[in-house]
This record gives sequence, structure tokens and C-alpha cells, in this order.
Amino acid sequence: MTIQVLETGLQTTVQDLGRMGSRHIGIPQSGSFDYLSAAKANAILNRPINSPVLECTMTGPSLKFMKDMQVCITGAKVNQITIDDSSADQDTLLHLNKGSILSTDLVKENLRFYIAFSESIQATQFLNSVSTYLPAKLGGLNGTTIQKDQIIDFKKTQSEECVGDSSIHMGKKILTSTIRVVEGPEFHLLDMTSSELDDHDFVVSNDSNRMGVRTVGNQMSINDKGSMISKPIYPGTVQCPQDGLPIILGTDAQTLGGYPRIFQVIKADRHLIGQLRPNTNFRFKLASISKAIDAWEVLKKDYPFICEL
Amino acid sequence: MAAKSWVMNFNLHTKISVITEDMLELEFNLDDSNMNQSKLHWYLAEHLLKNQNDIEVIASEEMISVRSKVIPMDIHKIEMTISSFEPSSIDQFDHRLEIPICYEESFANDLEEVSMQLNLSIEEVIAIHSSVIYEVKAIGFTPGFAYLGDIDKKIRVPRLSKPRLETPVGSVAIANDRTGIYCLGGPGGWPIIGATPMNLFNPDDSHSMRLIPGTKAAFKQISMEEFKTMEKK
Repeated sequence: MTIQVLETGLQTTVQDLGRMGSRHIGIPQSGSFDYLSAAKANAILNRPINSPVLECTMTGPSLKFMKDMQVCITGAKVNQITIDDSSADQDTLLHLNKGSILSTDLVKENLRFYIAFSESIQATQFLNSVSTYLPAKLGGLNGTTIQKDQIIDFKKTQSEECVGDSSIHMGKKILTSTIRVVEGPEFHLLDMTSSELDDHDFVVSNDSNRMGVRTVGNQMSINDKGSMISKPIYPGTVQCPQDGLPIILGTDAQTLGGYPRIFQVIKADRHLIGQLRPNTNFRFKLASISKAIDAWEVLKKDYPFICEL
Repeated sequence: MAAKSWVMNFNLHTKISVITEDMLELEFNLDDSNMNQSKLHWYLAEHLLKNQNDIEVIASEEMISVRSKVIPMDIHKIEMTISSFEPSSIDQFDHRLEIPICYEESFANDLEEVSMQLNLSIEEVIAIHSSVIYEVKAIGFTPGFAYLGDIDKKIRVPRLSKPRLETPVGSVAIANDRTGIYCLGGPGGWPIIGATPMNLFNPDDSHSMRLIPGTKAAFKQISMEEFKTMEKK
């Protein structure tokens, strides 16, 4: 019924697609940062896309299986995945036998990968989601990351064996060099032309986490006196403090904030924020609202399972 | 028929700004000065969530923000939901809550620094902070966090230049014209001047919050002994 954690990885947490409908009381969304990859892993296992997964950041865990199970690994490209001594692939159904050890290591590019299981991880429900919210220790496994030697329990699910959905794209590259945004409500405070923005490189800071992706390097020019009343914010809102270094809010983002909201990442690109790797470059590209709608339609064609979100 | 004419005004003065393919903001210009803006936003947010399960709502001091799960979002549907709101459903009861606060040094990491910045004694800062009846202006930032205002002009300080990574549960903090209580742990950027033993947010029953917009809050200074006794309860 269980798996044992032999190695934890840098920051491995239980996530589903997050908690909705409680943002007005200050509850962040949480959930898989790259929800597209997480949903894809479940879709390949033919499981509901909201099923809990393990989100792994930069390095992943080693897990010992106490029973037969299927898993699927998606998201950032992992250097090496092994089942006992044989190497295994991403984006496909993997069979684990009782006693087998699944090992993952460093990611080669991007940042987060996801492990989905043929059964449901047993974790703490909080407001209709088992997603781990680390700052307040809510949801997940005791509200925190998986621990060495921990036993993770699973709930029995209806179907015994999973039949993978072969219609799902395999091995598609995750490109984070361009993040498409629409103008935010305080865009007018930016002292920059759109061509200046097109040529402006941003570097992902090491100080980034699930609450926000910070940037370092070239500063933007912003006219703000820092006296704004706190305004509504969401994952994908780009705030620009007076230091001119924008912060892209993440899946655990707070619900109100006082820095100018210069951009909002378009829905079709929001999953990419979770894959922005520290010390890599990216650019923002301004899009119109109608382009943003078109982009979502394109994404939906490529990933039909995402419609349920 | 005062309520009805108010409803009409309400509709006439709604400003809708489309922000993105899935977000919009609503601002309400109230003619009725008896209407509490924060309270209106809060009850409207609840009304929207009760009537539409395809949206996320945030009520801030100045506006309501709506995010739709469906793209493109159905603005007309949101407008219709808003027009079905009955302002008379706003709870007119004057909710008051007395919140015990201990300003002892061990809870008040930044009180000394704050008093130095303000050129006031610690006792003066405490006296001014605990003498005002505050009103909840908004709920947000992190779970259950209430923005209470207004702080007396004499004790206004900016946010910390570097936010702390972990704030103890129950910490009472101030920043600019607002004071607030960290109901759950986590990072925080406001200077801490005390703590309350009162549990203001219960994760197991998150919809029964003691502080909601419009609630009046009075702070009562307590000793360390009183804090410990209350904490046990």
C-alpha cells in the first residue's frame, strides 16, 4: 500500500491543481507550479488530472515501492531516471514492481518535474485540495516536504491497472525564453517603450520560490513612490518594486500586494513560470488580450485534457 | 424606496476594467455615504462566489477583482450576478471584537526600533496603538490576515527594508496607516510590536473568521501572565 522515501530531493511536495474559491480570505492557490506537466502525467496514467503528484525541484527523490504500481514522470528533463538498475523514460507509463526502487537525480534544463502515481497519495485535505502550502504548513504531508525514510500511504482507487493515454505529446520541449504578458493595471508607471522591453533580458534570481520568481540584472525604470494601497494579485501577476527588478508571482502568491502590477502573464504561459530556472535568461513579450485568448486555444488543441481546468 | 434607488445608483456607478483574458476589476462609486466600501466589497465577493463556481474573487479596499476559469470570460454573466446582489443583504450589525495584545519585549521584535524611529517612548507607542478603535478594511495577503485602519499619524512607520522569512503566529504588526495580525506563520514585511493569544483563523473552519471587513477591533493591552492563561484556553 505504500512507498518509502529513500532520498528526498531538494524540495519535494505533494501538489494537486490547487485550491480555488478561497482567495478572498487570503488563501493562496498553491498546486503544481507547472500544472500543465502535472496534469499531463496524470493524463498519461489515465487518471483525473487533479490527482495528487509529487512536485520535485532541481533534484528528485528515490522511492522504494512496497507494492506494484505505475508511475509517470513529466516536466523538466531529468538527467537520469532509473528503476532498479535500468534507465527509464519520461512522459510515458512506467511499471514498478513490489520491492523496486525508482531513482531520479538532477534536472538538465528547466526546474520542476512531476511524479504521478496509479493510486492516490494520501495527504491532508484543506479547502478541497491536498496541495502543500509550505509557508503556513497546510495540506500535503504534514504541510511540509517529503522526509527521508518517510512512508507515503496511498488510497485505493477504482481502476486496478492504468492504461496510458497514447494520444498525449511526448518529450515536447519546455521553452521559457519568452514569457508572454498583457499590460497590467499599473503598466503606465513603467518608463519604457515596447521595443526597449523587447530587447530587455531578465535573469532569474536564486531567491525565487513558489511564492514568486525574482529577477536580477538589468533594472526597469519605474515611476512609483511606494504608497500604493494593496491591490488584488494572482499567480502570473508581475510586480515591479522601486528597485526596478520585477517579480513574477508564483502559485503560492499572496492575494494582495502593494507594488505596481506592470504585467500579467497570459494564461497559456502561466505554467512556464514554474520552469524558470535560476540564472537563466528570459524576455517578456507584450501581447494583446485577443492574442492571449488565441494562445489559450492553441494550447488547448495541443493538450485537450487541459480543458477541464 | 431608498434601497431601490440605491440599487440603481449602484449599477450606474459600477466601473468594469478588463485586465486580461481571464481577469477583470470592478470599482463602485458609492453615492450613499452610509455605505461602507470595504463591507460592500466583502459581501459582493461572497455573493459572486455563492452564485458562480467558475470564478475566483479578491476583495481589496478599492475594488473587487474577478478571475474566470473559463476563457474567454463571460463578462455579461458576471454583470448579471452583480446586479442580482441585494445591498440589504449586507449585515448591518456593528460587529466588535476586543483583541488582547501583549506588547512584552519577547513578542515585540521591532518595538524598540519602531519607538526609536518615531522618537517616542515604547510606552507612548503602545498607548497610541491600543487607544484607537480600528476597522477591518480588507482581508488578504496570507490566510486570514486583516488590514486594520487607520493607525494614528504619530506612529506610522514603513515596512521593514528586508521582510522576515518567518513570522510567529499571532504577531501584531504595523506598516504605514495599517496594523495587522499574522494568523498563520510565514514570511512578513511589517514591523512586529506585539502578539495576541487569540486564535483568529482556524484552518479547519476557515469560513468562520472573527475578523471580516467592517468589523471594529479594539486592542486591549495584557500582561505576559494573562497572555499565558489565555493561550492555554
